[in-house]
Amino acid sequence: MVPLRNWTPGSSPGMTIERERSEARRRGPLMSALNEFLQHVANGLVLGFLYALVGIGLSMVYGILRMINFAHGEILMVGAFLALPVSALGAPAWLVLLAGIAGSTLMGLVVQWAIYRPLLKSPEVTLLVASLGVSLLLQNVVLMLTSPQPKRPAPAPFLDQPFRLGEIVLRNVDIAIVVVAVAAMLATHLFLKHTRHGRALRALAQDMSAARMMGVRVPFMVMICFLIGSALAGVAGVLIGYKYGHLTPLSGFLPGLKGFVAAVIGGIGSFPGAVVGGIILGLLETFLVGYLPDALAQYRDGYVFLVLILVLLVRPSGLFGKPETVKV
Amino acid sequence: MTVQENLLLGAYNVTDPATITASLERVYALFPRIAGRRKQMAGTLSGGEQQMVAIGRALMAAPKLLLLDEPSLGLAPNLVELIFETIAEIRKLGCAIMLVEQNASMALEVADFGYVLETGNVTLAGPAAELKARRDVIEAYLG
Repeated sequence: MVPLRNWTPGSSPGMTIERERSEARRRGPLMSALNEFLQHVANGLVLGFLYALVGIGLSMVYGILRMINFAHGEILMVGAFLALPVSALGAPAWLVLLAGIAGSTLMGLVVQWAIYRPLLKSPEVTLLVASLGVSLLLQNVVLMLTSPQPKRPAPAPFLDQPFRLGEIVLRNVDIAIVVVAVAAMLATHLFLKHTRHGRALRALAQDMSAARMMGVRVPFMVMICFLIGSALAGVAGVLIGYKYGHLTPLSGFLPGLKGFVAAVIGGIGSFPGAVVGGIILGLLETFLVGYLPDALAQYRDGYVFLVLILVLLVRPSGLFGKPETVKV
Repeated sequence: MTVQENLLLGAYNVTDPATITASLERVYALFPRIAGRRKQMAGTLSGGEQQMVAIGRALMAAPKLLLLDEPSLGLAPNLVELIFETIAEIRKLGCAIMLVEQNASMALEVADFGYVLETGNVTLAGPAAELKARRDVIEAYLG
C-alpha cells in the first residue's frame, strides 16, 4: 500500500517510468523511442479525457453563473464514494458507474439548490468563496462519515486486464475511460445542440437577459446545468476509482483543480474548449512526466498549475474564448 | 447561435413541433433575406438582417401583441422602408402591434392609432389619419 503522503494521483499502479524505460532500452533506440512516444500519447489521451469530463461541468456552470465551482472535485468524490457500496455488493462495473452518476448528480443538485441558488443575486466573489466552503465541507463530512484510510472499489478483473495496441500497453480500464468519456461528451453535445433546453442553456450563457425575454426560466436552467456537470463529474469519479484503485475524501481535490485548468486552457465557459483543454492538459502532463528526468518529473501537479499561470498570462480567455475587450 | 437557433429560441415555450415549423415557415416567408442565411451565425449578419431576426424571433411565439421599440433605429433608409413594410405585413396577419418610433411620418403610415409623447406625457392622441393631417404640429414637436 502506497503511503498517502507519497501517492500522487497521476501514477498508475504497476507501470513505473523506470520499468517502461528499461524495457524500451532492450528493444533498440529508434523503435523504442517511437513506442515510448506513442505510449505517452495513449496515456495522455486517457488522462486528458478524464480532465475533459471534469472540465466540461466547470465550464458550463461558469458560462451561466459566471462562478467557478471549486466544489466540483468534491462532487466527483462524493459520486465515487456513493458508488463504493454498490461495488462492494458485487455489482457489475456499468451499474457501479450508474450509481456514481446518480450519487454525484444528487449531490450537485443539493448543493446548487441549498447554497448557490440563494446566492445568485450576490456578487460573483460570494459564490466563489461559497464554493470553497462547500468544497471543505464535503471533504470533511465524508472524512467524518468514513475514515482517512483509502478505500478500494471492489476489483473488476476485466478492467485490470492489459490491453495491447502494437507495442503500446494499456489496461482495459483505460479503453473503458475513452469509450465512456467520448459517449458522455457526445451525449452532452447532442443535448446542447439539438434540444430546446440545450439551446436555452447556450442562449442563457450568451445573453442572460435576452434569453429570459424568450421565456427561459433561469432557476430551472441552472438546475439542468448542474445536473449535466455533476453527472459528468460522477462518470469521472467512478472511472478514476477504477483506474487508480484508491479513494479518499481528498481524491476529488486535484482532479477538480486540474479540470479547472483544462477549462481555462480551452476557454472557460466553452464546451468544446473544455474537451480540447482537457486533452491538451492530459497530453502535456504525461509528456512532461515522461520526458523529464525523474527528479523533476515528480512535480507533475506543479507543472499543471504552471501551465495555468502561463495561460492566464498569455491568453486568459483560452483557446476558444473571446478575448474580453474593455471599452474605454 | 445561428439564425435558425435564434428563431427556435423564440418558440422556447411552444411545445407542439408542428406549430414551431409553421411559425418558422411564416417568419422565413416574411423575411426572405434571412431565409437564405438560416445556418449563419446571427452575429455576422448586417444590422438590418439582425433586426429582422429579432422581429422574427418575437413572432415565433405567435404573440397576440408585439411590442416594437425603435425597430428602424440606426438602419439604412432602404432597410427602414423594409422594416415598415414588414410591420404592415405583420399587422395584416392579425397581430396587434405597439410601436414606439421616432420616425413619426413612417410610423403613422402603418399605424391605426397614435400617441405623441413629450417628456413622458401624452400630448396628442388620435387616429393615425388625423395625426398625419396635423403634420405641421407633429413636426413642431418632433423637429
